[in-house]
Amino acid sequence: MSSFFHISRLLILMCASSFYKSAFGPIKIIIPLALVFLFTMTLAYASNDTSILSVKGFGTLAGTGTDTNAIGFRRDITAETGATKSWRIPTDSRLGLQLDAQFNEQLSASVQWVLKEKQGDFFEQNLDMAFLRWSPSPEWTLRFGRVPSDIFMLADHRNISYAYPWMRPPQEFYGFNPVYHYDGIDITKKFRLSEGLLSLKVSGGYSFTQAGPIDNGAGFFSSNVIYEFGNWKSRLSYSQGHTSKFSFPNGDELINAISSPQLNAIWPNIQSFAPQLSMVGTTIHYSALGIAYDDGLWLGQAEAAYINSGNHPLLPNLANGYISIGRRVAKLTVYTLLGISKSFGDHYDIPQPLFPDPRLLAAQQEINNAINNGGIDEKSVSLGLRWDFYTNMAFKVQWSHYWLGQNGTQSWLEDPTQSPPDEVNVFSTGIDFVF
Amino acid sequence: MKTMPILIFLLLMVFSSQQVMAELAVIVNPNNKLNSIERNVLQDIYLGRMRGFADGSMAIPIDQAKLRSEFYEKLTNRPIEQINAFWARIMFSGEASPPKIMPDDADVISIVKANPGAIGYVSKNSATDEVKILLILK
Repeated sequence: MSSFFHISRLLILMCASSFYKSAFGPIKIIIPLALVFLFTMTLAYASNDTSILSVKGFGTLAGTGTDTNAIGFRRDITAETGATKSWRIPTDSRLGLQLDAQFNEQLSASVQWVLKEKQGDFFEQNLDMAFLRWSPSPEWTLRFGRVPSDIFMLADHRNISYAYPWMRPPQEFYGFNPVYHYDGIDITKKFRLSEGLLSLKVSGGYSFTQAGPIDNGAGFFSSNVIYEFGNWKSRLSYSQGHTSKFSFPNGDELINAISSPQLNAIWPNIQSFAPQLSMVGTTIHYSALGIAYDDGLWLGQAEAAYINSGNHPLLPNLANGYISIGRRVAKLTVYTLLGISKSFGDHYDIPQPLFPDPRLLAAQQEINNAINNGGIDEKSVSLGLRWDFYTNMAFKVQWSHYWLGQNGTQSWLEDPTQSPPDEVNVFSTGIDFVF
Repeated sequence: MKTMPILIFLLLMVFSSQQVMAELAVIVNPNNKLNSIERNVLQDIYLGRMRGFADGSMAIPIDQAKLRSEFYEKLTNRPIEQINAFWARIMFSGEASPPKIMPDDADVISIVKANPGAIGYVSKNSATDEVKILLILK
């Protein structure tokens, strides 16, 4: 019972933290409400029978390093620091805890919190699940609360390295996307079709993410179709996000300043760039196709996606994909992975101020960086090994070689004082576990 | 003389493989209307894909600690570490909860006896008249 009360206190802390952060929109309140509801129900049921509760977890302890100090490697843009020649543990390490409550055959609840390197609100942003799951029949499932984002094949289990062969999800494909969860609802319907299983899923809600200096709030809708047949699994998905909140430090001041007539008198046409410094009102379309094969010995997986933002300069249209092939030999899995990602942004010439005032020139440089440096252009090849050396534990080692294009390092941690290298080797090794 | 150790090794191999080849009975509550189960339906139930019998009723799968590895190997032709990795995805993405794990045959039988939707597996010799056998896994 002591561990139960410890978890209860953790939940209260999370609720309190979420309440204080609930200023960014009414939908946000769903999280603390769902948590309180979950907590109350858990407590009520637990007073009679604690066997409905289970605590489990997952994690990775890994070291990651590269052969350059000119740019930092990160799994995705939510990380605040990048790996360089100095090897780092936080880049690929994480520890997740999950509390499940099974109230009856139809109703259950799950809360998951992941300790990992993350920008923004440490408690709120790392709370990846807090939902009620209702399955009135084997074919139907509904989840309500904070649920994992499911827009790509690995999107809802990016942190659970034990579940996949690689060190991390392919960075070209997953690195640009900061969305791990959203507050809302998803509904899944399954059908037996021929010898296989067809799943249709629709979801909708509000996601609030903090990545880099940017806070981003978006309402979104997502749908996917999955067909599993024998050793094959295929997936087709379409998602759409509509940004309703977008802010960065001093962003409003900057936008107000460049919109003012006084400034435009000495810096002609700079106001035309004001809308491009905010994504509010932008709709982003994500279309993706995935296929996976696993016969126990050979495994393969590939995904391709096109992200259409109407070519907004802060997230230009992007095409990406990867393909991986692996072969198991007893408890070893050897794999290779190829990834590619390319954005199709336009270049904008930022007008010159009439007077070369150092403050205006600095502002011009900042606007140029924001608008013209949001591109992604990278390719990589990886070789790796997974060794399931003990029950529920796997040792991994991976080498990746990246080719980086001009204005193509948005997923990396750029050093403004240095130009990024054309090629980078990334090395990593670690242990994944579940308990 | 050199052949002696090889012979012993081969005998040991045969002996140990006979251990693994024990038959498992997939059992349900006697009130369950089904009399058999397709292998792919059983896989869907035990791999968290869809927890329903072919007649649409809800299935509650039960694992057991002693035979878990053997059961999944027989059902899926995959070693248990691959099953564990598969289940890590299912449970930590919040898709489904894994089956409850009972210690041995007797506990599985008592749960299946008491729950109309329960499904479990035991050694073929342990299956009693109090449960119904749907499938024998060899």
